Amino acid sequence: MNSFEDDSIDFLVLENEEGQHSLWPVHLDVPGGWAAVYGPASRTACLDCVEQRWTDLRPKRARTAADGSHA
Amino acid sequence: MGRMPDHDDERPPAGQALDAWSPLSRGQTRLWFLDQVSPGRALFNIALRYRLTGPLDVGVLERAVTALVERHEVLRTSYHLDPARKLPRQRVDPIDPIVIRTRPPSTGTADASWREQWLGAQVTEPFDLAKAPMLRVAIASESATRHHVVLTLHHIAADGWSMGIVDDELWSLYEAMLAGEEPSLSPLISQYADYARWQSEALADPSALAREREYWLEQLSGAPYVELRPDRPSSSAVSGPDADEVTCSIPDDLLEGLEELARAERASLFVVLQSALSVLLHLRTAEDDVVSGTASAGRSRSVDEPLVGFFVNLMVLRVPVRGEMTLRDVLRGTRDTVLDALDHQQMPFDVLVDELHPTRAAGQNPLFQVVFQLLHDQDLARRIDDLLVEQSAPPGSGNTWFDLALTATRGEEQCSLSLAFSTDRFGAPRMRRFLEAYVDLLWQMVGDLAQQVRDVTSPESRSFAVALGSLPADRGGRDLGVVDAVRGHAATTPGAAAVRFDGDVVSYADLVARADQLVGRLRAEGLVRGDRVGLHLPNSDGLIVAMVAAVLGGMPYVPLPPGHPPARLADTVRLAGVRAVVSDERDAARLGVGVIPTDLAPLGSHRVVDPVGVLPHELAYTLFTSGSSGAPKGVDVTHGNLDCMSRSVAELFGIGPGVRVLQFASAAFDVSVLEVFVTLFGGGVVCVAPDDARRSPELFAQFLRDERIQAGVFPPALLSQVEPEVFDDLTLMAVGGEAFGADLVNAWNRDGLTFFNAYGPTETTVMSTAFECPTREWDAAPPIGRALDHEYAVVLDAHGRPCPVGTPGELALGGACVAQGYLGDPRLTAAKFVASPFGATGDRMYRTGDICVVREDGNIVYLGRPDDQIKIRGYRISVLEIERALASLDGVEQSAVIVTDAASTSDRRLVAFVTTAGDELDHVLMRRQLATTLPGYMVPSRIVQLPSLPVTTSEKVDRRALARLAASASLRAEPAPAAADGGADRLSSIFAALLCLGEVPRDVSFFDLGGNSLQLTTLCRSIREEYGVAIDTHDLLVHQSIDVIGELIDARLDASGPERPGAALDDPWRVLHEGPDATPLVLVHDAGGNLFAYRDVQRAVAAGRPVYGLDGSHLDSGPITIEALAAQHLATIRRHLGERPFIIGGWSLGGLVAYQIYRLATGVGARCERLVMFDTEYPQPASATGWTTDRVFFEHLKGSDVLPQSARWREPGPTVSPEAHLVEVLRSVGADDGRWPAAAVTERLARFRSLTDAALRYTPESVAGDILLVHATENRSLADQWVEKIAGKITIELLPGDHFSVIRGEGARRIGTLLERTIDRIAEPDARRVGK
Repeated sequence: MNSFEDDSIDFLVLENEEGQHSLWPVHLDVPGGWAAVYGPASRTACLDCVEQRWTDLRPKRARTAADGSHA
Repeated sequence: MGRMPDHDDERPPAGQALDAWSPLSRGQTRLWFLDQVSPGRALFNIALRYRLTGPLDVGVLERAVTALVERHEVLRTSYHLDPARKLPRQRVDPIDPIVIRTRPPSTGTADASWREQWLGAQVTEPFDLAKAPMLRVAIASESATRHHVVLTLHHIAADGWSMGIVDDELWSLYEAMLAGEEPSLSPLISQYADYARWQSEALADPSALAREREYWLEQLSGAPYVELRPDRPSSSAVSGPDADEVTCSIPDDLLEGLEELARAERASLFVVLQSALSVLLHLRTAEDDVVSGTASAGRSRSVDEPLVGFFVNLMVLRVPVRGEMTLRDVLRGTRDTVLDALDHQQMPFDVLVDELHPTRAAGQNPLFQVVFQLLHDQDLARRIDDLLVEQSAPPGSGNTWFDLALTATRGEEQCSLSLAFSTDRFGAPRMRRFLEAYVDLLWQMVGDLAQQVRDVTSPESRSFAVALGSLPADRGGRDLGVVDAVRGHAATTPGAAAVRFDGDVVSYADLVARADQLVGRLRAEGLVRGDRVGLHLPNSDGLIVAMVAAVLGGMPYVPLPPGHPPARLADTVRLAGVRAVVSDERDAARLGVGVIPTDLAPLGSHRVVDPVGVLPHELAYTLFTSGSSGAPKGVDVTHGNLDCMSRSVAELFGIGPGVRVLQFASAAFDVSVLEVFVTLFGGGVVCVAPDDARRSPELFAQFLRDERIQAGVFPPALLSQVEPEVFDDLTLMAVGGEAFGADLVNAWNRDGLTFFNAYGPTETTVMSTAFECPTREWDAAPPIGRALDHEYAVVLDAHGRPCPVGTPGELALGGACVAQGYLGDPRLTAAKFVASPFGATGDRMYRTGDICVVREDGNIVYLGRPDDQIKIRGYRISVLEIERALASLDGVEQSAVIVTDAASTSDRRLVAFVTTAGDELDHVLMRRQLATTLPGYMVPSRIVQLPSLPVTTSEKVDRRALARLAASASLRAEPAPAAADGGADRLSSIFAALLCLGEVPRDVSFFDLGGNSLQLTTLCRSIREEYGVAIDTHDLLVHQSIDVIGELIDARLDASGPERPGAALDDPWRVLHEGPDATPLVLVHDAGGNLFAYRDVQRAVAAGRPVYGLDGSHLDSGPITIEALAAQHLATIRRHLGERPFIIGGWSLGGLVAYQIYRLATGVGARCERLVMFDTEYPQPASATGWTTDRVFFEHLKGSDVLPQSARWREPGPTVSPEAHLVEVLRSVGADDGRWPAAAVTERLARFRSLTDAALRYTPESVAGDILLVHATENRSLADQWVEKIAGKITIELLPGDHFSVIRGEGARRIGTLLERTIDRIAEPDARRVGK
């Protein structure tokens, strides 16, 4: 079973500077530029958290740029 | 085809009492069987080597070896098939004194390497198991006082323990003999054969080993077959693989640490080393259940301890290893498993195999392919007078039975490791790294036993991470993008063609103008940057303009192809929030948003030039792909992604101004993005294929020619239908979108053409890796290559770490082409687009879900989707690999393999679908060819020919449709080829009888039905008896089910008929005419060795009377006597007829053999009622004709209608060998129709010679009984000789014709009548008595 798909292990939710989120198996080192914002928790709990937190999939700079252009 | 078993055994050995035979032990039986399957290989040779310094007395050494062989009977035991019980048996043979092979010293500088080669050859030379002794000794001398001695033994007679005994006793004997003393070895009270007999009796008791049986069956139930993925394509070739080994030593401090660890965990060093191997295998195979093997001494009885012999037993170790377990967990699990296994080690491995009947492939060890053992090496040097005897490492046998054999040798001070591997399957560099990773893992165990398995890293994965970390951090954002490039071309070369479609040409200036116009119109409709616009257009210039407009205007496009179901398109519009649709279709209004036609007002009215260019993070398009669940998901791709891909691919493909590029893909398929934007980025011409070219391969080819297409991306499904002719202008082909096989590259790739295998998911912008295929003949699918510029590709193991070379895992792609994510689906995006440890800080990578492997050269090979990597009966199978093998067969155009759905993996079946150039395919031939590249379990159980394969909208093979087809009743009801003639029914009966089954499923393998290796030998013989076709055990390892064997039999019968010249049929019994009731007639082969002469006689005998034949084509050219032959034949008759009465007869030389059978039968009380001899000459030294044997053979062939009557004999010249001459004569008379290859002629002539020679040496002794002599009228004098020399009741019948015609046609008919009279008299014994 691939760790990323393994329901039996714990995960983290990571976020980078662009506000992008990533599911992350708890046993792997957190890569540079990412911070854990939730977990360790079950895969489902982590994905629920992602759904709640990550409502705009655009990277932050795209959001900012778009807001700027509309303003 | 494998060698036929040796049949010398059927000749009673001179002076041997019957009780000289003993059964084989189970281990010996396995080795004997393997030797039958792969004869002539040194797979099981084991050796000892010595370096001798000082004076050596070779004569004394020879006497010592001879004494050793005398002492241990197993060393002078030979192995033969017992024809009655169809089991091998062994016999202790008297032997001559052993002669040591010597190689005298020579002076050249290269002598050392020649010497090593010579010594190596001593070890690799195979043993003939039918000929004792099973030991040989060779000495190569460097000088009078420096010698190298190699002892080679066959494993059937020895094991590792035995080698210690051999070593010890040999030199004790030498020392004593040298001193002229009596050797002081304690006498043996038992021999190996006693052990074999004991084991055989112990196992015959059904209650024996009940505890062991129960343990092992439970322990191994459902165990996977664990093997490393080979570097080279697997093969079922039974020739044993060649071996090599890599070695290293465990550093002293590590060894200390390991032994400390063992003490602390109350385990042995063996357990520690074994557990590390299990962890490493887990990491490299992703198996949670690691199955490997080891050896146990197998000498549980103290009486066996001093014996040389094959006692060692294989033990299966199944150790659970999962990522969350600690190394300590695994170590303790291993310890418990090993203790339990030792507690149940009485169970012979071979009995276990027969009980479990695992799926097996030819040339592979059942149950496991990786073995580990720990040896203890005592560094023994002896001194015998002035001779120093030192053991050294023997030359390798060059063969290995196992894929991988790891051996740790613990010496006094240090411990060395050697990893022997099959070079058929693995390359040395990978094995060296495997061994390094093993040692590295040992360090990690010593360092932290509480570490979890998934945290274990390998030197390879660590160095990999470092290499990637140094990638340039360039994100590509500042380079030229698509928008600027297209506007640039419009400004600098406004008149240059940008799009060609249906005869129209759109220039770059027009393209940009029309696109701007459309952008203006969209803005007029209220759309702003970032709003999605739907494109509901067929492939056309209008579609290209609209795509360009969307990109120029910063409004991401969403393809809505007109062919798709309107409801699905409406869903897409809603899901993507499409604000407006560009379409000329009448039904576009149904999509629910505003529709803008492409036919816009002239230039100027809506012209808008954006003051700000689009930014890299803005979206360029959203493509919907169907996920594995079937629900479409939208992939959002940015301008940065698009720009990066366009730049990289334009450069890689060399797309510059004016290059005409194919536009074939639907806009819904991401290849269209590449076709359009890479081309326009480079300034080339997008040549849109018309609809009819999409439907007809011929029109497609026409289009390529007419438009003089120079470059394109071709879907494999389309390409395989197009005639691979030379398209003069085409210089670049990229093939992708779906995996393809070697044949496609071979058909299309040529000098002057650049051929790419292109790969990439929509999620990383169309194309992420590519491999430029060199022009050469490919025998396997080319790799998908490496990542494009600004991207990276990494294969991850189950725990998310980079896999070492050769280990399959999931491909992840990172870099500038990673898309934004899935539209409106943060969950899926966060799960598939994950944080990357390999790229720049904060980077993401996309997990493709594709299974790939990195090759030694760094190129990536695509292995398939996880769904393709299925398991059947414990074996991991790649559907893709099977498809590629199928596609490489002659005549096969396309192929797809699916696995039938079944709850249990043992009920799964592989079904192959193929399309061809039109011919009906020969399934037997196909299976045979497949079996040369695929292991047997990967050869599909059914091959179905279809006019074409169903495809999905994106030109991919529609596997769901095929699965439905495979499950449909019509396909299942398709009659099996062999069933038509009832052939398979007879085969079913053989299977049923052998396996004690009521009903036998036709498509299930013999082994899966419970058959074992010995039964396979029996099956082989039964088939040969039943059908008279030459089939050997190897054939049956390749063809295992009734259906498949039936096809094979049909093919063999069609190809040669049952009387195939040169066919080696080792049971001489043939059914010529079946009939259950009357006294059977048994006819003996003639000097030609076959039953061809009786073809008319067998028909002339009354219906209902059985006629059997004794064939002689199994006889080799060796000397034989009529007496021995008759004894063999009588044994065969009694085996088949039991105590039934019978009549024996024969023509020509066959009559002579029949005569002797008759004599013998009366002696042993067999009910041979009568003898009939057809035109048989009383044996006499010189033939009246004065012909040479060759000439007689020639006339014999002619008389038997094998040669035309016009054939004339020509005397050979002085320098020509008789065989060569005969071949030449046969060719000259027109018999060269393939039946007479020189080898077959030589073989048959030799047989003819040995039989006629035997006849000359034979003196018929008188016999009491009735003899019927049938002679041709012209040979009346032959009858007179019999009457003169033989006492007894002789009846003579003369028939018209000559020696040959007397048993043909009319002669045969009269013989039939005559026999009925004769037989009637037997049936009424009283009448006979009255007649006297």
